[in-house]
Amino acid sequence: MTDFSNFLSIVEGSETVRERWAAITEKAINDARSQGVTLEVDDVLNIREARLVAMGAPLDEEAYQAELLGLPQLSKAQQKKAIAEGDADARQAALSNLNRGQDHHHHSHATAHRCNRLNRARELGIESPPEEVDSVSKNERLEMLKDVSSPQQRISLGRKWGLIT
Amino acid sequence: MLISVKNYMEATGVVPETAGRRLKGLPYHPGPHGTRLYSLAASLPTMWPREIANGAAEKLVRGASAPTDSLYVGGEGSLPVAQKLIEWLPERPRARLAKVQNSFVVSLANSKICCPAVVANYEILRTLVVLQPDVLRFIFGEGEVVDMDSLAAPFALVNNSHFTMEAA
Repeated sequence: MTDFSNFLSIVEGSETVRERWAAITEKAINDARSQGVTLEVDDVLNIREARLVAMGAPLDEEAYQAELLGLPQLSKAQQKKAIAEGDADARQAALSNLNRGQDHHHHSHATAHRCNRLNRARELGIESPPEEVDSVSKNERLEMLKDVSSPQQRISLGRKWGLIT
Repeated sequence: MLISVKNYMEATGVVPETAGRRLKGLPYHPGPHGTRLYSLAASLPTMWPREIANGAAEKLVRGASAPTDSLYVGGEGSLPVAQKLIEWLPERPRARLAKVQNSFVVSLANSKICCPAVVANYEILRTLVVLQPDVLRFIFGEGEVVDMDSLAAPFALVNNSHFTMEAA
């Protein structure tokens, strides 16, 4: 991370800058909150546009939004949202990212790494395959199940199709 | 749920000959050592009122062994057994069954499988539910209250089929 001590000492030194910095920080935190993410004051430091505004430059809303959404916390939230909405590309990207470079761990850490990966997958909501697109209506599925003679198989199909929990 | 002739004798206090005569003609599964295992639901209605008054039904339910599959109750072939059992039920179990059946219908209606394919058979399913081991135990006061919210949908899913018989 870049060292912001210069910037911070300017903020310390000038009341006007301090006020502008407080205002833009508050705005950034509120904007992030509306996306469902809590930002820390220190996270706002990473937004170049916010630092410029504190120095007195007019706010370039577009660049500011782009940088805000580019913060790791927010981009993760965006990704999660896209996956939840069923964006296949976002899901694929998240999955390959998750599985990247998994072969270099020492075998004694294998379990820990698996747990870690599973946790990360759960956070993103990609721990299980996406629900099948319902091309067959629920009623047709139930009609189909009538022809399955094994009770166990009926239950497992019913679960698979999301008919029962 | 299944019972042996011994279970029946212990519950009712009848001699082996009487037990054999009453259970004769009921469908059975071969049990260990050449014994016959009868369906609990089919055996209950063979009891006499005096025996029922002495708690024989509860005893028989207590002695019955639970099947490995507690959901599937035998399809259309079991419907007459269920109907006969319901007709026979003494007052208390009958009142309890009515409650169980009500919550079965409500839970089914609230479930994801409340679809024409299932609803068309709901009366049959509502009758068959009496054969489910947990229900049977509960209505005779030998088991916990049945958690219908978790039972109704899987039960309906497993037992729903192309019924040809009209529901009673």
